[in-house]
Amino acid sequence: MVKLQVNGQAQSFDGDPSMPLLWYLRDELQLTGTKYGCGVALCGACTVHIDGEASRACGIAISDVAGRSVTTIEGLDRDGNHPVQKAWRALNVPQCGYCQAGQIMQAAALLATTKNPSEAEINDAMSGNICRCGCYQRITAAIKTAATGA
Amino acid sequence: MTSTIHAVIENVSRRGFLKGMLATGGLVLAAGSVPSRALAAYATGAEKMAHGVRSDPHLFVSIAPDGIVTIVAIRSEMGTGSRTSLPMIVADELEADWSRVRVMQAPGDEEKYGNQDTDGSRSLRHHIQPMRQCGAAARQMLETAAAQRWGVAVGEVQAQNHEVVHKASGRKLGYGELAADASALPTPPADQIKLKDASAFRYIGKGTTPIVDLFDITTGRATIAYFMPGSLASML
Repeated sequence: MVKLQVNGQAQSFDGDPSMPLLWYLRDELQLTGTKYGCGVALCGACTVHIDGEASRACGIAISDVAGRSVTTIEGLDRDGNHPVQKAWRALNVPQCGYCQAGQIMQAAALLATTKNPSEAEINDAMSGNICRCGCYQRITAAIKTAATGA
Repeated sequence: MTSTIHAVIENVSRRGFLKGMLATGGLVLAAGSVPSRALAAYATGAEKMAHGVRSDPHLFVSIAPDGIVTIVAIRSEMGTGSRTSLPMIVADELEADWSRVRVMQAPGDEEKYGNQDTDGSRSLRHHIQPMRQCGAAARQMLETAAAQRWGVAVGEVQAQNHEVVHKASGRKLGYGELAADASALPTPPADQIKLKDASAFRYIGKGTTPIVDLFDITTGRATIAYFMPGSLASML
């Protein structure tokens, strides 16, 4: 039996302990905002927070998050108004949308530890999150907007 | 290919096409969205698909008695904005207030909506004209309904921003109030559909309309990949 917190709620799971966290979130909890991209932690689409740190949910077994706290895009802000989400909308960042939950979670984790990141720090933090529509310039601009509250 | 392509537009308000999906008692128009000449000009492979080329109506715009306009998006969203831009074209010709427009994604139902392949950069090329005609037809039917209600010539009334106005008397009727009357009218013949002049566009070319699922995408609620019931996933 694995016990963990997901978006502030206590959960327990007694299935296969090697199941990737991503499938637990999507298939067991129906938290489908977190996307399956590559399955091998190379694209960032499945990024969630584990104890506040950006992590790829596809490459982590459910047993490895026992006793830990997971936050998904659905739990980032109750009303969907986290500064990163607001900045994303102000600058019309998304196109198709598939990678965006991962991008937003990665950016939110960056800003939680680095209040006013430089462009180099943004690029460094975001380099593992791939966007096939090519929204990168708006992503960078939106992170700056979220950081300054502009 | 010129602007002489005409979509076949039908008033299907009484046919229950979208039963359970849209409010009843309003106006529902359908248009064959891909003119046969456009199909001939662009080999799409649709003729080889299970249901072949569907020429029956599969683009819908509806106006409910509460004034809410629902436009069916018959293409998917692949990052180019077509889920927003195609309905926006209908809304522009319709003189609809975008805040009272709802976009309903057609859910991969080939028999009802025809071929929904979203590829080849052809969503707009193939659909802008039928979409404009469908919106304009609905606008003209609302104008006709209002003119009949007031007993004035249709040339004296004008649709603007979700209502029809009779300038001479200052009278106004909202689209919702006119929807039921309009649903009893015939659609205007193709050669009497009057498209807007480009200078009158509200949304087209303005770059001011966010994509319809912007909020849902940023909160993880958007439906991005659609899986038919019972479909299985595999991984290579």
